[in-house]
Amino acid sequence: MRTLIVLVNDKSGERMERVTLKKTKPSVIGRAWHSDVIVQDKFVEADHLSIQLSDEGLLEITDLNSTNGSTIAGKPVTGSAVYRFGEVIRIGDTNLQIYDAADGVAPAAIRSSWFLLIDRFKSLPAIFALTLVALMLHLGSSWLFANEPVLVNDVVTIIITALVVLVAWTLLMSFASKLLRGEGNMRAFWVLGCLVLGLLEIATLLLALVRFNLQRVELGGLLSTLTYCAIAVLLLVGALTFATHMQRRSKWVFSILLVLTIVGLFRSDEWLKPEHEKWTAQTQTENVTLPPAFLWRAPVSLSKFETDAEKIFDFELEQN
Amino acid sequence: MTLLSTSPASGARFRLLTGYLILVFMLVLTSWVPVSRADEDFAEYYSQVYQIRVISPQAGSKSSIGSGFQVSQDGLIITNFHVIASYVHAPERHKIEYQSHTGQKGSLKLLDFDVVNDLALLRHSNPSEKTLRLSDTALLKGQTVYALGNPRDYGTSLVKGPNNGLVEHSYDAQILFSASLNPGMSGGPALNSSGEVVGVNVATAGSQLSFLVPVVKAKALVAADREVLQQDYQAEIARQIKVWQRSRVQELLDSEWPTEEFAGKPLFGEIRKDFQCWGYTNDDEEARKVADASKSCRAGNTLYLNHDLNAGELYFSFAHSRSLTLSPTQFATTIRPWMSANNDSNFTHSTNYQCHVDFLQQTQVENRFQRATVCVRAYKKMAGLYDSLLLLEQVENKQKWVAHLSVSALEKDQIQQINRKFLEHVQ
Repeated sequence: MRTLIVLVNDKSGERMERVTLKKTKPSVIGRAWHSDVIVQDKFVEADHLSIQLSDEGLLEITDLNSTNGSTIAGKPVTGSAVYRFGEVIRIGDTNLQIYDAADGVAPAAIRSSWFLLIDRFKSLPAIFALTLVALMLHLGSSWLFANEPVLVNDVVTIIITALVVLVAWTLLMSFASKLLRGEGNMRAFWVLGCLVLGLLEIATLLLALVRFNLQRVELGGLLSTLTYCAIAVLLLVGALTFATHMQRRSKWVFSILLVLTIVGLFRSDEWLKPEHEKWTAQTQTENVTLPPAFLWRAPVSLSKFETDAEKIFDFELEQN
Repeated sequence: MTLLSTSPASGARFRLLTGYLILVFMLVLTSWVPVSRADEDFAEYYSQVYQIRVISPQAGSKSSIGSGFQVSQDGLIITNFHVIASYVHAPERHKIEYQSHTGQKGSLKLLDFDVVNDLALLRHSNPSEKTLRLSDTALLKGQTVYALGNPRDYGTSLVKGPNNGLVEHSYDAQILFSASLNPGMSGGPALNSSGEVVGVNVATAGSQLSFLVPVVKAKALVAADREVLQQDYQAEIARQIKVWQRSRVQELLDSEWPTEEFAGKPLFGEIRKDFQCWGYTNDDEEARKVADASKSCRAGNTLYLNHDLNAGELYFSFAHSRSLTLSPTQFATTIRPWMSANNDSNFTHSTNYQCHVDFLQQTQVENRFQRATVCVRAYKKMAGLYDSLLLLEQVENKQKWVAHLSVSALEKDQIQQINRKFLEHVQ
């Protein structure tokens, strides 16, 4: 007496069956009602395979002269074959895997913190509140940095645009997720979208503050790039978590590489330009300007300014 | 102001004026009859005008043309610096040639030049017997001047017009001559009625507005009797600019800048006779978000160094903006503190700008910041000369004042001094 678990993957989906092997007669897999494991597949015989323990205690699989044949790990079965637990048996359009019930199962996987985060927004009011906060942040940021007065119709446009983007993102990602992971996770993508939008707006505001007070255009540019890259990586890792079964490490590596590649492609022109194409008749200083209330660094005296400005006269010129 | 040598690059630069020049040219044709009376008197001088050509042997053709004239028996020829500028910047890739009235050609050697007054001294390999005399007598306002030259390579032409004295709004003396000088006549002689040279054709500003270099500058160049070596051309240009700027800018540093009010502040305007100011407001704009007023002042003289390089600009401007409908943050986003050079240059001649930005202390005013930006770029071939840009922005929640100073081809100490004086005056 030995108990086996048969994992059946036919057109009705994936399921598990428990089969107890008897010494006296083999267990049968097939389409017939009396089979030990019933498979719904028109290419499978009523009695397709038999499973039996040999005298040596090995699991023996016999093809019962089926029309379409059987394979074990890709190899056709002629007559009987010895089966090792876990190998994929294919009959018709159906895959089977057999495990020994005596073997323990792997411990439960820990749900990633991404799912825990999303679970905080389970109820409808919570989702609604999060959406509202994200939209308000977006609206606030759009109003602060607009270059013309924001009127009521502009507010409506801003909100509708943001909602359309969120809906499109959610639908698209749910579709991809259904294909790749097998579950839609629509709520997860909506929550992720709202969280990232809010994060983006807060980051934009903080960057403006830092860049205005720093007044160093290269450093400011670098800070912005790094911040936006980090947010993009977070978004990608989140999306991969909900849409695929990828390992934790491969998600991060993939996301970082993807973001670096995209940034690299866009910046490569600037990096690879020859010196003479980098020449410009314009000055390059920090563009971000905020009202006086946001200036937190201490102003300097005129003479200090002049002393500090001495360094701009140092040029590295080729001597000819 | 258009310089009167013909070269494709300068033609493109002054594209705005080309339509104008065609009109001017037609005027020359119609006013030919009264001039022809002078032809007989001046017939002998036609033969003394040479066409000066800078040839690039690689292209096998002329790259710029102008006019010139011989002033001594040993073959000294005077023309404009801008006629032979492309040779000075790349002597290894060009040669200077002349073509005489009879079509005879020969080579010329560059001896000396004066970039400030736009003159060059050349030596003729095969001097002619006849020379033009440089006048010693002062030219009076209203006296008739006869200018000779070869406009657009059509043939030597005589243009007659009154001398209107020296140009106002110019630091260096230039004669305002009311006749139509055309491209190609650059470097040609301008004679008085007794056939003595009183000036050298140099530039035009459109219809009947032409400029001559006073003959004393040419005399000084001849009297200097120097020969600048080919490898020293750039250093010599730099030296001449430094000498010129030293006194031109020092005067500005030493003088009082008369106060002129701008947008409620005691600022300044035409700080010397060579500065001219223009104003602008957007009052007439409907549905404007910001009320703008600005004023810009510019010194009349700049130096033409090559078709892609000029220097010596002195320029400043003030602007005031008041927000009408924008919130403080929205108003702040309209402030873009970038500046652009006021003189033509490129990678060959200049580095990129290097800048320093900081916020300056201020007295009394609450809720306002002062941001100062100072940028300089160096001349690659003229050591010790820089172009400088300065910007002071005084920003409040709903209004801002911007003061901008741009100076070109100055030495470090003068840039620092004029920047300081400017900042002290606008704060």
